[in-house]
Amino acid sequence: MHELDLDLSRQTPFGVDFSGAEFADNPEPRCPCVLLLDNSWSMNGQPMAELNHGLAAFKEELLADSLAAKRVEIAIVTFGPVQVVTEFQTAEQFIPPPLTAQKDTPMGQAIIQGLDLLDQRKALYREHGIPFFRPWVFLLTDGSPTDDWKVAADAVRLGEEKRAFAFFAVGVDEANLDILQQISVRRPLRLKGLRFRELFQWLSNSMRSVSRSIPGTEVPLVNPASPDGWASV
Amino acid sequence: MRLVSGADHPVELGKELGRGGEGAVYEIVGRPGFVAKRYHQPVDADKALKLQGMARQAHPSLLAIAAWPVDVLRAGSHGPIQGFIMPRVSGYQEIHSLYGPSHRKRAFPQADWSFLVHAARNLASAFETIHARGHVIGDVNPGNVVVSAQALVKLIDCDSFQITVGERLFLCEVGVPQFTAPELQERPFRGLRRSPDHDAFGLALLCFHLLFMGRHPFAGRYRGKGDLPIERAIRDYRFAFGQHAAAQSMEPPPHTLPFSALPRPVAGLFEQAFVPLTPGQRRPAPREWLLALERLNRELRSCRRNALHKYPGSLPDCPWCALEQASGTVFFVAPRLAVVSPVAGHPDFDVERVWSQIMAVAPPGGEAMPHPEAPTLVTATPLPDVLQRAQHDNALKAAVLVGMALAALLMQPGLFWLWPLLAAAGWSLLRNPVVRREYQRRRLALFAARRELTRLRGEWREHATEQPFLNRLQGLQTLRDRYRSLAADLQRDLQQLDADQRRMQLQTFLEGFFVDAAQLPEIRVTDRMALESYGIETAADVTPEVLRMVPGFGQRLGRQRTAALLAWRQTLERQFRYDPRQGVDPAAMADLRQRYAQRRAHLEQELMAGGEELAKLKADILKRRAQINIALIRQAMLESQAQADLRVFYPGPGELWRRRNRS
Repeated sequence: MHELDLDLSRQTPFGVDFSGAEFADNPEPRCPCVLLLDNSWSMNGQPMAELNHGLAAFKEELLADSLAAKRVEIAIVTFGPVQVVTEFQTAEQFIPPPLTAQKDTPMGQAIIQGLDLLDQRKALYREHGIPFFRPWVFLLTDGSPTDDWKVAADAVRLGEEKRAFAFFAVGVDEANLDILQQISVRRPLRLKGLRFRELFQWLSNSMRSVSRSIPGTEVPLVNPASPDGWASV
Repeated sequence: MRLVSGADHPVELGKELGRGGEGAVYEIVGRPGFVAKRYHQPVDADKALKLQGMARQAHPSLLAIAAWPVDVLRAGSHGPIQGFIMPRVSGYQEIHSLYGPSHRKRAFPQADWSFLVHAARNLASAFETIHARGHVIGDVNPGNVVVSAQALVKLIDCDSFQITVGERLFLCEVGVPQFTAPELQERPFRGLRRSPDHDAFGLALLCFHLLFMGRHPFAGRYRGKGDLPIERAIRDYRFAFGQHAAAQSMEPPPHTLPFSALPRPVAGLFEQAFVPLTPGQRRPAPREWLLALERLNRELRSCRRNALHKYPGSLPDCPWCALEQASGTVFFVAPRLAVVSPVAGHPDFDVERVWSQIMAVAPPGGEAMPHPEAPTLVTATPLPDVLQRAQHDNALKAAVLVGMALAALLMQPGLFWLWPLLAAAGWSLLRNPVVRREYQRRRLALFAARRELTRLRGEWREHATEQPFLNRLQGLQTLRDRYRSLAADLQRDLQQLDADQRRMQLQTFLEGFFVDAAQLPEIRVTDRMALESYGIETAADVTPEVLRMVPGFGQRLGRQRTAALLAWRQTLERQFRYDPRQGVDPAAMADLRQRYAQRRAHLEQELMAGGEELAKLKADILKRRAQINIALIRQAMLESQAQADLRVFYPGPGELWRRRNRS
């Protein structure tokens, strides 16, 4: 009983940091995935609705695999304006936010924000002794950047060189693939029509195979630009 | 394509159960306890030999702890090997759903630390079994280990094991670096020969995961520069929890069970498994783990503040309390059944899914009782020479006696009644009784054989038909129908309560109106008195049945009075307004719901156990059937043998002919 009294009388600071709770509860290696999603006004209507459906399907697909559900972590940054809509969450906890079309396309700033988020997350992984797979950053846009994207492009190139993450860019509809080509080291892809659902299905399948693989190894991915795929080059 | 087993028996694949990169697993029609794995790609000669070798080595001890191949699967007789048959592993979950706290709280809500220690103990025992048969697991990783709700452990994907068949060694050429021993890191798995000691490293890793809430022993806070992937941490022996961790720039991650919480023997095993080995030294063997973990489990005690917390009795205080408080995570939860709301039932219980599991158990089939035909080639046990001689002598004696009797009859026909008597008396004195005794013995043997056959047939009809299975299935179907109609039944009973309530309210309402006070010109004072003497005081008492008994209410004018009274009651009834606010007695309702909750829980339990029960029943029937079939056939042979033995005494013409020729 003595220790109990001691516990009660001890002062504790307000706002105890329970950030480690999620890792104590689930110490599986993590497979982080940042989605940079364009919600500029040009996405209004059908494209936005399809994107929201795609996100819902993404969660469903990941949940179908019990290990992937514990390993894949999703963060969402929308741009137009730049906003962190979802902080990193495992697929189990992830609730697809309803996205609405807003204003312009500050893509450069969004990329920087997304990479910052990733760095913070990785620091947290290290602090809590959580192994992690190479993160994925997935950019989805239908326009061309309305801000300075050069700095972002440099950051992406540097990260890819250090194998700190893998950056994928996908253009929707009228997107300016030339600029995407300059930002992304990997070849940007163009979404066929509004196949967001197929895109997220592919993404979840890829994340599932990555999360079942060994950290630090390359996983062969299904080519999304195949005739049945969601993308064209 | 026609698939056959190694012994050329046809194998019919049923439902697909799962699919992986290497092959797919199917049910086998008519063999509920087994499944077949069929590879997507044709297997090479080496793999075929390995599978055949494994099937030959399928020892019961292996089958109990592993999905070990028991037979190969061929594409037609002498066709190429396409896969193998193994025991079915059902009701087990991948081990990561046990050691990861978040998943465990859902998948194994009853599991406390004692359960985890026990699972680790069983894991060690499974490893020991594999090693005792001369094999090595090789690719130890959480995907190849599954656990049951009783903490029983099974190893799956056994076709990748490193197998010794006689002189030959079949390698395990795959692996997961995160679970690979330091000395094997960065070496290709192809052509790699593993030892039980390498398995021992994997075993220590998995035990650590189980005891430390899913933490990898080499995943800690790295104080050095850059990132430290697990494979490198393993290669460099950077055990993040051990006493030398700090010297390796490692620290245990926050919110983990302190390594010092382990009693020295178990902690010592981990240290020994994760440090560099000096030549000739080995890592702790499965048996050492088994003994240490068993002892640990015996020494556990429950926390005074939270009975779900189990910890080594040597510790002064509960480490889980401190850990849960610091981390803001609850590591152990009370089994969910306790908090389930009574009528909602088990949230995960899906009657259709459970029913499909029940239906998945195919009936044992209505095989007919075997009626073995009498074997054509039964050789009767010949009579021993002594008896044959005695028989021969007897025949001679009989012939002589008959001859003498006939002669006497011819000489003295007057005494015709005497000679046969004398002959019979002489026969009884002269004949050798051993023959008769043998005859009796053989006759009794035949009767006994026939009785046993009848008994076996009865037993067959009782235990070997599929009737008990069908009966139980029908019983389960009734349970399922009752389960399905639970909600409707509850609704009906609640409505009944409601209706009863309505009736009671009406009764109370009517009891407030006295016949005395009613303005009824047809009813005279004397009538009122009569009514009163018959106990009819209020509108509630006014019913046609009762009124008929009252004098003055039966005939002619009486009918009018009766009608007037009933009309009065009806008018009042129309004025009645049911007050739902008064409602049904909450206690009565709670009682009803409680009874339904119990009924539901009971049904859920029985239905959930149903599949397994049927499978067991079926296995029993098939086993009994096989046993009785064999007994029946053997008994039929015994019977025909006994019959033939007896027939020696009644030789047919053919038999006599044969004997003549022999002699």
